[in-house]
Amino acid sequence: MISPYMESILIFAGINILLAISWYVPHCAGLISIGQGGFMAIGAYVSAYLSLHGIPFYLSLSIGAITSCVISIIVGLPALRIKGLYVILLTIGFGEIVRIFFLNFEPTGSAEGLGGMFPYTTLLSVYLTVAIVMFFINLINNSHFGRAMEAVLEDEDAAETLGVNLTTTKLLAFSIGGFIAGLGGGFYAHYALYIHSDNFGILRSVEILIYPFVGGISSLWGGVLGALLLTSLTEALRVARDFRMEIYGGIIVVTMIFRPQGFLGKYTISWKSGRRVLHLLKFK
Amino acid sequence: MAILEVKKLSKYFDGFQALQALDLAIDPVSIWAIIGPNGAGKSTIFNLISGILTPSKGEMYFKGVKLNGMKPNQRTALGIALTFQNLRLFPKMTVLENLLVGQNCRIKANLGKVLFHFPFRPLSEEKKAQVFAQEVLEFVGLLTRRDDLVSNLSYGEQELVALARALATDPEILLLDEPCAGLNSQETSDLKRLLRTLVENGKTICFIEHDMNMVMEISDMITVLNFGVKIAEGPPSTIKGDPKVIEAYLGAEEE
Repeated sequence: MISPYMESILIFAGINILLAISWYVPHCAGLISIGQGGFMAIGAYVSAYLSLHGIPFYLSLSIGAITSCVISIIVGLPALRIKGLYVILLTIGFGEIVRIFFLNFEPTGSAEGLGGMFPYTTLLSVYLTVAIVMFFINLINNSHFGRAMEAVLEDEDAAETLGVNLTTTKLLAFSIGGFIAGLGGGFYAHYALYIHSDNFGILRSVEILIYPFVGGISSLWGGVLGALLLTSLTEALRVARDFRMEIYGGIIVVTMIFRPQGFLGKYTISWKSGRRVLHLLKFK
Repeated sequence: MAILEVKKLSKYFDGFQALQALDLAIDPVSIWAIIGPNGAGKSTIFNLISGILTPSKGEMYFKGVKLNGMKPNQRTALGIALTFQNLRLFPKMTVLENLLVGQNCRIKANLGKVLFHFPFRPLSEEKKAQVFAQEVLEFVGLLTRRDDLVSNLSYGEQELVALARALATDPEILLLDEPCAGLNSQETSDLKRLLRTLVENGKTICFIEHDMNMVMEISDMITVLNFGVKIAEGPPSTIKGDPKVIEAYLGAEEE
């Protein structure tokens, strides 16, 4: 049906969608993270280690994601006291701590990396997970939790005087991000089949940040579109050989100049605009 | 008994005394004005009561409950609502969404309930919040604009959204920081009418204002501050003739 090459691109794109969503959710509450690679590493290493020791794939995947979630709560607690730029620095520091940890941690192969996983990740399982994750994120966004996050993003103090609990709102956003990044890492480990701590360094974290920036920072679909677009772009640009990454970077720069909010706006893909389209069709 | 009581409240900013040993006891179901020249410490009082700032000294009580040490969101849950001088609305959210944020502290559903609520229909609490928010919008006369982004509204309308957003927290006392700033005379008189209706419905209003006509017309009691110190307190009729107040505003008469 589709060639193995296409399938691999789509699977990587699906994993990148998960990671883009894992960046998007904390940002909903005003927390900008350049450490999602670290959470991804935790998910990847924990699930890979467990499945190598005979634990069923989906169980080890979940344990990996939950571990990542718990650690994100621990990291998120100090992040509550600081704002803006300092959160970014904190997450960068965290990402590097995780990378160096796995570089030196013997049980998961340290500098040799970890290999020999069974390729459990399939196109269906990745995209099914993406769909479930998006469904639940949508539920949260449309609930009072989502509104609290949006209010915190726009004006923290005003939100707090309106009765929004900053602690739970920010921790919730950050831990959901950690959980989803852990899921993405688990799928990655069981598709790449070999993981090394360098796969999850700051470069990876920046890459994750770029997806929603290009696709649209204020909507869930933005990250999805950005991940799909940029993942396929890196493959499509293979014809340009050595200039591949220059063109890739150039496209990002041009996007930021002409459409700084990303391709999709907040309501581009939503019931609201869907209804508007139906409205237009009916009366024309 | 006073609904809001402040005892010997002081606030220093790096040695600068913004507020000095203020005593204030606001009666329930009344309109209480706080006036004073710029820099008199009026907004500081509100920031202390709402919990944005922590006092250097002194205690605050709401219906007998001590507020010191409570977080702003806990105070809101008790029934204290605040509007800001510079509004600080959420410009990228719609009018209705702005109000729904105010209903947040009244929704008790946890994450599990939000995620695993089969079939996936809005929670009853959510519906109640929507209804309440729309009632508030109807009250301030903005129901027709509920789906507009706040940034697309005129300043007068934004001022009303700020009031409505505070009301959406279902408060008992409203602290309004210059609710008339930037309003024209028609909007101001509409606002006066709204405030009176609120008090008739059992709310307490405490507000800071520079528009003396409005202050004298609608308030039951007035507290006058100057340089962080209370210089006068009483009903409008006595404040109007108080020599200390006239001195603070116009300067002392030369002998």
